[in-house]
Amino acid sequence: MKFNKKGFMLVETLVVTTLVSTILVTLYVQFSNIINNFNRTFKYNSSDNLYAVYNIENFIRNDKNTDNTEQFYINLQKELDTAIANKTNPYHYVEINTSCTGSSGNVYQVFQCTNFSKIVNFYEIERILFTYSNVNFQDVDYQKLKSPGEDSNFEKFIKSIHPSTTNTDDLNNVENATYRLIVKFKDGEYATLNIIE
Amino acid sequence: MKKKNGFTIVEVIVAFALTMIVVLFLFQIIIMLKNVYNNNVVASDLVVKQSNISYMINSDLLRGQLNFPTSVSQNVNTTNYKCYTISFATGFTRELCYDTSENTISYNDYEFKLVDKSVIGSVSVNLDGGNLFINIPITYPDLDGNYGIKAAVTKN
Repeated sequence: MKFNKKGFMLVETLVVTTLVSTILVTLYVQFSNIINNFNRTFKYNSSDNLYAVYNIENFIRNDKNTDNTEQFYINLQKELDTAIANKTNPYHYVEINTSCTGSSGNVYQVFQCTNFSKIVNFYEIERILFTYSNVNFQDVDYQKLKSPGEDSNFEKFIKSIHPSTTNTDDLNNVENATYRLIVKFKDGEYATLNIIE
Repeated sequence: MKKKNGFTIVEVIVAFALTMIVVLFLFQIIIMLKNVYNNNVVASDLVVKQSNISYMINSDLLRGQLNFPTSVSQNVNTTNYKCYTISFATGFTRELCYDTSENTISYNDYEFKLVDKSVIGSVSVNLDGGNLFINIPITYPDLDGNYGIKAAVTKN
């Protein structure tokens, strides 16, 4: 029996298609990394955003109630420590309310919220997280910081944060740890600062 | 009988079409990389300028003597050139000027020239409840995002 030899064999077509697809996928993966790194350079910790976080830090550290008997920053530290110690907080952070809608769950409102709202609106801030500075967000403990509904870009930023210590004994050890602010801006930029006591 | 050693016309057409697809993708990647490179050069320049101006204004405003801004006045207001004078309770004053035609921003004794074609948007210098807010939006036609400066003196 004679076969028609004029066209391609199925195997030939499959081999060529596979080769072409492999080349294109490899190129796409390599170049998408370049694009992602390019975007990351301009979206993470820009100097302007770091000053914004510094201003937020200054505000919360100086925030007091009207008769000066309570300090928001001290309360915030206690809430974070107590919640984690009592295991009532499934996440290793507390959140600072960016508007004047009161405290609820693990979201806390500053005393002088009207003034704070003006600053938050000026810098176009979406979320402010308060956590420990020595947490290694790249390992499983990151899950303790992750909240439901968090978008993947914010997750990528959090995973890119380096802990304040490289000492393995101090890593993820919340006792005697210092604190960190993580801020998400409305335009998709992010910044974080260690709070130096 | 005819010899069968050469390619058939179908083989040549299919191979040519496949090659064209690969070349097309490669060209798109080259163009994309060229754009990334060009944008990177401009964006880096804008970010360096942004950092320098931001550092100059923020580090000055965060100094103890400039904690309490008392008034903001616009002392020069022409079409392209505008100046604001900010006064503080301690008697210090600071002058912030910008020129939209020359693309320059000056703060006190320092002047910064932005990249050509960058656009200085609607600048605002406001005093609100003891807080001073300075917003200088800077954009570039081919780039997304704002490379502007935001500085604030907050009171609580």
